[in-house]
Amino acid sequence: MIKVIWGGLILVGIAVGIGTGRVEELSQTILGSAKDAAELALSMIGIYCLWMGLLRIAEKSGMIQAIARGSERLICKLFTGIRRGSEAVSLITLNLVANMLGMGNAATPFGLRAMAALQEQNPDKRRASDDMCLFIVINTASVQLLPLTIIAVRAAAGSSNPADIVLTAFLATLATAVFGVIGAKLCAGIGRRKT
Amino acid sequence: MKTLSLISTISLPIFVFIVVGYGLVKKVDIYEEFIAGAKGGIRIVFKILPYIVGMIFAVDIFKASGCFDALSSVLAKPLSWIGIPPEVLPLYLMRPFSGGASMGMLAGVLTKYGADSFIGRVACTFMGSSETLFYTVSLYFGSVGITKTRYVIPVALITDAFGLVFSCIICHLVFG
Repeated sequence: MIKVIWGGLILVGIAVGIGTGRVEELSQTILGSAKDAAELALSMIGIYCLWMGLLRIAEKSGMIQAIARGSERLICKLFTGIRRGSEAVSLITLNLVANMLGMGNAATPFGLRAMAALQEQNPDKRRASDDMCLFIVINTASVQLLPLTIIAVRAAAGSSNPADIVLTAFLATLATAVFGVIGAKLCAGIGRRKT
Repeated sequence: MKTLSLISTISLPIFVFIVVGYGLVKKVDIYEEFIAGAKGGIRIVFKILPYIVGMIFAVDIFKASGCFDALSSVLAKPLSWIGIPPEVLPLYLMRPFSGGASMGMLAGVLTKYGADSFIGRVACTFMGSSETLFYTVSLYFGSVGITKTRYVIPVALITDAFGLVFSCIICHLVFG
């Protein structure tokens, strides 16, 4: 799937770009994008080190396990494939909470660790498990209490009340998350019946 | 509203305080463990770097070719029939591919049509309920070596479309 989309973006992009005479822009973009991407990735190193370091302290102190005990019932109801008491429970919880609170880019490092934990319990290492799919779908709905960046952009654009979209954004994000969970569960069910 | 904003800004320092404080109470060698964990952070970034390069490379080509503009103008008519303002379309199309570019587009929409316009509010609401889908998928799956992504992308894309429709509905109801 990613293969097709990735190839499609490049081939269609180049064909259309040449067709509409944007050859100059294309050449610049091809080289420039690699540099931009590396700069972006390298600029994340500090933040990732910070969160991974804090996460390790939380693991050693037993805080992670304590979090898992609190959220286990809910998480295990959603993610039916993970064992109780597994590290995946608390890592998923941390990812969701960090997302919800908009906590300084912590959600992605937590999410990557959660994926690694889910992968440990995945029988087929090349094929995504239902729990992984559900986890990603929930993540792309990005449940957030307060979209601080958006409020900042609104304020900069001269809104009379920059925060007035908090309610609508929260309702929308909640609705999309529920919609996504139902969709993922339906697909998982269909997949199970086939095999 | 004030309290919500306070919760959101204070959560980060509080979280750090609790992690470090709890570690100290539990007699964890906090500094050593922090360093050991932080080393893992470097590994993760280098592991995901190729995926980031691959994704940004493809998206940037597509962006530079003018395809997004062409796609938006094709889709504008049918979407306006069901009540979705065509002005938010470029933002909707960019959103799954690039967080930075879509944030820039949001700022553009707000300055052009007004932050307090219906279009502006729909754009902000949608932005708050969606994520850079392809980036997340390639990073999360790439980091653990999954190649068969199964139904994730279709489901996430449909969810995204639902998010746009729902954003329009909720903004109609709340802001009239």
